[in-house]
Amino acid sequence: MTDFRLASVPPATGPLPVTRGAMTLSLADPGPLWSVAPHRGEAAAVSRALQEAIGVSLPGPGRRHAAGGASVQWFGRNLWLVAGVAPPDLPGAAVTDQGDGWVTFDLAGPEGADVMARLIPVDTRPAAMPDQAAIRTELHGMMVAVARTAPDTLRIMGFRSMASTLTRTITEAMERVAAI
Amino acid sequence: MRLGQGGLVDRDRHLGFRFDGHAYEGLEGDTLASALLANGIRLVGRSFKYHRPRGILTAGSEEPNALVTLGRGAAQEPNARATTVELRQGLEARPQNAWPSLGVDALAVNDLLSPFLSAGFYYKTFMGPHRIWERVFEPAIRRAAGLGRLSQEVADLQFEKAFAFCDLLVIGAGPAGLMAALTAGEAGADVILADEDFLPGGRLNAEREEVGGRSGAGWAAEAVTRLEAMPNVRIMSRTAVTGVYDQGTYGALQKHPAAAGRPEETFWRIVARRAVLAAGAIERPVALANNDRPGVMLAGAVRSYLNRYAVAPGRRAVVFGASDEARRTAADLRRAGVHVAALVDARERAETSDFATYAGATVERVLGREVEGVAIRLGNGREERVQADLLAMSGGWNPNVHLSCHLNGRPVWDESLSAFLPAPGAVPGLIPAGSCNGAVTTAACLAAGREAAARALEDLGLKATAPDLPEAEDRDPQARPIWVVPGKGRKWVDFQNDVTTKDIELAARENFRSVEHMKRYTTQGMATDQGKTGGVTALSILADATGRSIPETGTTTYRPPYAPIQIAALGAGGEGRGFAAERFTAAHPVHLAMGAPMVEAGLWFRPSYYPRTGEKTWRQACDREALMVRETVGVCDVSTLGKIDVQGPDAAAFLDFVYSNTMSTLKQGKVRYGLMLREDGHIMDDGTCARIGPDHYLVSTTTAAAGEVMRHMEFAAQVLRPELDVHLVSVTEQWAQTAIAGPESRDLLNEVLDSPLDPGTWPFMACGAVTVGGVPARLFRISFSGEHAYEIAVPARYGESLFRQLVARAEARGGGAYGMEALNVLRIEKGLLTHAELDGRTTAFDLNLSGMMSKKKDFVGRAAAGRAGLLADDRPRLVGIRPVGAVRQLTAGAFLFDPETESTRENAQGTVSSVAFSPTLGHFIGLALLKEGPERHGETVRMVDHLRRVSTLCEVCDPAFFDPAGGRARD
Repeated sequence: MTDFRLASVPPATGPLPVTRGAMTLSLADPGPLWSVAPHRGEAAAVSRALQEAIGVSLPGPGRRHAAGGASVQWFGRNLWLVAGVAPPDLPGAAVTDQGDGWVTFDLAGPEGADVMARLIPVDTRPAAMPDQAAIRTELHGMMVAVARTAPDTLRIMGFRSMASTLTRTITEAMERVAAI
Repeated sequence: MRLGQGGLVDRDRHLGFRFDGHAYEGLEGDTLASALLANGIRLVGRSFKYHRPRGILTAGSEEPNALVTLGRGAAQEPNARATTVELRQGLEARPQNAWPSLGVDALAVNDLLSPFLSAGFYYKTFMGPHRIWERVFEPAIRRAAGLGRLSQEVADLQFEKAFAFCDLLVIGAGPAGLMAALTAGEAGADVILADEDFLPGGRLNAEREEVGGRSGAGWAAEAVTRLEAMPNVRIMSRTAVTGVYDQGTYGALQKHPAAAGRPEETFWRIVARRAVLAAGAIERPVALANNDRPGVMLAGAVRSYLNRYAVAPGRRAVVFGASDEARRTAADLRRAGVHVAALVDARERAETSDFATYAGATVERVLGREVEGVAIRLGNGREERVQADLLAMSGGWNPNVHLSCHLNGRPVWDESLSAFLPAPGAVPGLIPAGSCNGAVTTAACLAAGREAAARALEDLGLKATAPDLPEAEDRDPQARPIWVVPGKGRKWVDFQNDVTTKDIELAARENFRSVEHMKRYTTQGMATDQGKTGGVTALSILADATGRSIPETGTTTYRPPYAPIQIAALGAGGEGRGFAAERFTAAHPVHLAMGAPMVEAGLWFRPSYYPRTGEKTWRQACDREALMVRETVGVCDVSTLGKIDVQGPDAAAFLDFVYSNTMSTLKQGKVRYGLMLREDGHIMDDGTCARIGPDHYLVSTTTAAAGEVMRHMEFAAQVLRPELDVHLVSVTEQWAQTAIAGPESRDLLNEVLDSPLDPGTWPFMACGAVTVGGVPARLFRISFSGEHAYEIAVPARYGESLFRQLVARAEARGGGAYGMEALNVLRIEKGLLTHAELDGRTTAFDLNLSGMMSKKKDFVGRAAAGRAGLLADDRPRLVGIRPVGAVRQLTAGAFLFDPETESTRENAQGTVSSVAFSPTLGHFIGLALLKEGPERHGETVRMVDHLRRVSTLCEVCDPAFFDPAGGRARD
């Protein structure tokens, strides 16, 4: 056993939070992240197991379930992202650590839909994307996941390696919305 | 000049602007065109080909003449239509295509030469050697002809792109559009009302008529107020819908009034479940002699300037048309104090009025350089001349069908209206309404707008409350079309491109009878106005000249964009660093701190080499780093390699299907090199595959192909083998991975691992879990350098810290970090492959990897890889080359020849894919693809690089130059 130690470094977003007009972009810490992909025919059982262990079941496509510090977000075809807690033993699913692969931003304020209209080809107005809705989409050439985690907050997850480009791109869109 | 009263301009808000170097004043609510007319300016530009003086013809985006350049310097904007430029304080505009000045244009001599400058002139005249055309004729013509010019400098202007969504997109805010928006808005639909103009209302703002007991403009303003109060309605002014695309997607360009930080324009992609096309109609000029003179204006535009802008475009007017609108024009002129010298109505039974009316007559010719009078041909054949400085003419109206044709629908000819109308169902979900659909009265437009919205609402499952229709003008103006007036002289059809009736007739005579050929031969309908005013007239002339009807002649293809879009708007966000996302590894700050020049690999930035004091060239650093790995230990950031987590009961079966070799036999805790083929039998990618658990594998890909491999595997899982229960998820970003290579790699590793490696359980190609500084990590004993080597992966948050400390500890041992250049040298010394060899055209056979194509199972690409052509002996196949003559240099991309043959294309025997200077061997080495290569080891070939002028004699050899037996990696 050596006394070797590793330091933890957050994604390279540049200085955050930034505020432009009525909107604020900040770096969020969603805690541990795990992808869960139930094996064939096991989705219901996996959902029950999650509900029992962390109090949140698997939501349908385009949705997010949150309770306490845990959340489960639809993440694609037969794929969910568990956040905030370590996953329980899920023998019926492929579980993969994703806690370091993503940079997570919170975009908060009343003009979130206007900012996102400049970034992603999806309608994020509350009527189309209500509280706890979750999507996967493309943001200026970058694959992202977006979820409405509170009425005025959009949570944007992108690849960790793209943290600085994401910060710059989202900030520019915020500046434009503030100016128009 | 400005009228004393009326109009929709703000007389208290004076705006100073400059045109052609002179200062003027206009009012808020003016366009540049109306402000110029208010200042008595009629000559605003020179024409494209003949440099004829031109004035303002229209009051809208269809304007062919009044093109100006806005602004100065880098940001100047050419070809702005003065009729659409909203006047603002400090606006600066310049005329185009005139030298030395607008009034005296040297190239107006072209007009005198016009008999020689007809359609096809360039093709017929400037024949001759290709090079003379390119060097002499074309530059000369381009200088003489043409529109405005870009500054050729980078402008500091901001543009943006955005998306919008709605239930109903209403295109156009005239009477039909406003009524459609009101109907849909009141029903609760999510509505976008897009209008080109900065003031919604369309023709309601231009005509003197009552709607709902008030002025049309007043009704429009009230409708806008009602719409603005609806939270479900968005009014987008200054927004031209420019194109229709699949599945209810519309392109639209929005201009923004200038303000700090605000972009110039937003290019919208609007996704609408339904749309109402209320684009209105465009008035046609009449083809009569000298109809392009300043002072000739469309009658509807004259009414716009009078009623909306309170500007009189002349003092003494002749009105020419063939509909009851002619009297309306005359009445509006008289009311504004303009003397109406003649009302010429081509109909025999003209509406009676108290104007000097010439029934059954035509205006045959315009007199004067700017309008000084007109020659009228009476019904009895006599000519009469009337003095005037303004000719208000109308040949009829062309419904604005453009957008309905963008999905390749062709408009349908309506004989009773003498007009093309949108074909029913031409664009799914798009309902044409109002004058773009053939309605000729305000009342009909209002009703059509309401009806179209009601239809859309029904489709959307919403109930229309059907607001009341206001009372409005409903008298048919009894219009009769006029296309061309007989008689001598040049009659302009396309003002912007200087195309006359004669040019179209000439095209027909020279057998360019198809409308598409005529267009290209004459250039009719090109440039910024895309033939909006002249297009249908041109068809009618071509129809006459070829003895066909207009519908038989057909229209040219209407393509997006409907209105000009600056490329800057389409490319918004893509300038500079916005071109592509930048991907940085966790250790990026360490690379930068060490001064490493970064090189792009896909979107990733990777360090090329780490320069040290005293090293003058990259080669010195590279040689040092490569030797360091061979002699002590090197550390390399390999985080960019793709990593795909594969799990599930059928993971092994799935990998056997996507890899050409077998992965199901791989033991847990082991790594195997694998090849993936494309369906066509060529190699897609190579990499390692580690078995982490019974049903759990980790696939690694090359940096560049990570996305492609992920997509391919998803396709295979979802489409080719849907019966397999397998899950794929990318973990490229999750793990920061560092290669540790060299004789001392295990010693270095043991310095940081929580417990030292047991050599017995960590043979070559082993993998497993370890902990480093208390952090769970993954360790792989693999080698891309041929040395005893490992790759260690930690969660990305620890990547920077681990890399930094490994570099420091390696340096303490006499080693250090190595970059892409040294990595490349090391792998070439070993004959290992990258995408220089896996170039998309090579097969496993070509790269001497036939043994990796399992004969015991099916796999993607197996059938195609077995085709005779992919196994032919004379295919270029992988070899090594090394210099044997006086010239010692090898270059990548060079060709290989037999030493005694000429170095021509036909004699090429192969190509050089990768080269490096090997510091270990002391000379250049290369990998090459050579015909029958493996059978030619020991032979001499000549490498010729025609571009760099290098010719080197080489010996063909085995591609593994260094430690071919592989003992160093295994021991």
